[in-house]
Amino acid sequence: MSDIVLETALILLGVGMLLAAIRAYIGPSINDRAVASDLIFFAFIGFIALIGLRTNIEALFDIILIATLLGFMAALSMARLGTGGRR
Amino acid sequence: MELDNIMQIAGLVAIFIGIATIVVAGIGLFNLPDLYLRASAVGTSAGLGVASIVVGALLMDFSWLNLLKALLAIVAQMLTSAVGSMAIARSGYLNGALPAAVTHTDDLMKTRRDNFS
Amino acid sequence: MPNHKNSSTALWPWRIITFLFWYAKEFLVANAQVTADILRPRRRMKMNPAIIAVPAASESSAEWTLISCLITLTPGTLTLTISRKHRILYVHGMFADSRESLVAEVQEMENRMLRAMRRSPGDLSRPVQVPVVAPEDKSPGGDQQ
Repeated sequence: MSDIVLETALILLGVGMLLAAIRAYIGPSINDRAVASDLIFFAFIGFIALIGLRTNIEALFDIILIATLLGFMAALSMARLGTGGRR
Repeated sequence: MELDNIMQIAGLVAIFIGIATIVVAGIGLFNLPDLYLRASAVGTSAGLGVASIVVGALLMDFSWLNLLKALLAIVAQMLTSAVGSMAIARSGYLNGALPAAVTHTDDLMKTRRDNFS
Repeated sequence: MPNHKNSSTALWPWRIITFLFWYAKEFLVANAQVTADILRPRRRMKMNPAIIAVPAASESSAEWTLISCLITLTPGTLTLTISRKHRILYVHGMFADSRESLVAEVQEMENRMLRAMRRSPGDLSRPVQVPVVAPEDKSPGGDQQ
């Protein structure tokens, strides 16, 4: 039973990711794209958690911990890219 | 057995709360007019969304070591996502992304140089 | 400035715990507000965004960092930049109906955070008038490094 619910959750999460991907595609400025890619990354953490639960990965929480620790690097470098090195 | 079932269901509920937050933030990316409001909308999923998905996964797969890792992950997520969204909003302002017309006061505008954008 | 009874006389670890619970409550309420506002149709949105200069009482780097992270983490308010020289936080608020309401909200959070962080609360006074910040040649948009 729980497997079907997890797969439904994966589909819903995919919808959210798709919305963010459309915004990242049409976003008028690079900062809109950066915000959208931030959201894509959060949805991706959800993906990792759900797939890990579905397939019983041992190291699930280690992966989540590392993902949350390193995820903001993407946002920082997108912000840096937007200003061209100016702070 | 009884407690196990309750924890599974509570975990699923927490996961669905997190997913709903992420989908709502995705809708907000289209519904809101400017960069700063969109960053606020993404802020909901950065804090509550990821945190409740992690809590849900913890409830479905509980052990004391996992509890420690999940707490660390939630704290790290909250601190780093705050830094990330601050950097994006700040670079947006430096880049000349003006706030939408509904913004009624803009104190930061006084500190801009005219030849800036 | 709001005057909280017994929060500065209570024991220090107890103040930290109360602050964490208070912040968790604020966090959940702000999440619910922002989520409800996104789901409304565009005509009936309640949002009233503004960028406001908020005078701050923080002193050390740790306090500045923590208060701007906490403000950003609460959905609906977002720190754009800070100016340590003029002691100002520039905050973008989503539900800022007036300048005073957003300033009061941010300063209440800062008061509670400083009472929780410092062993003795110390000086919490702020300049009443926001100083006029003129653009300088060296550091565009503030002096945050």
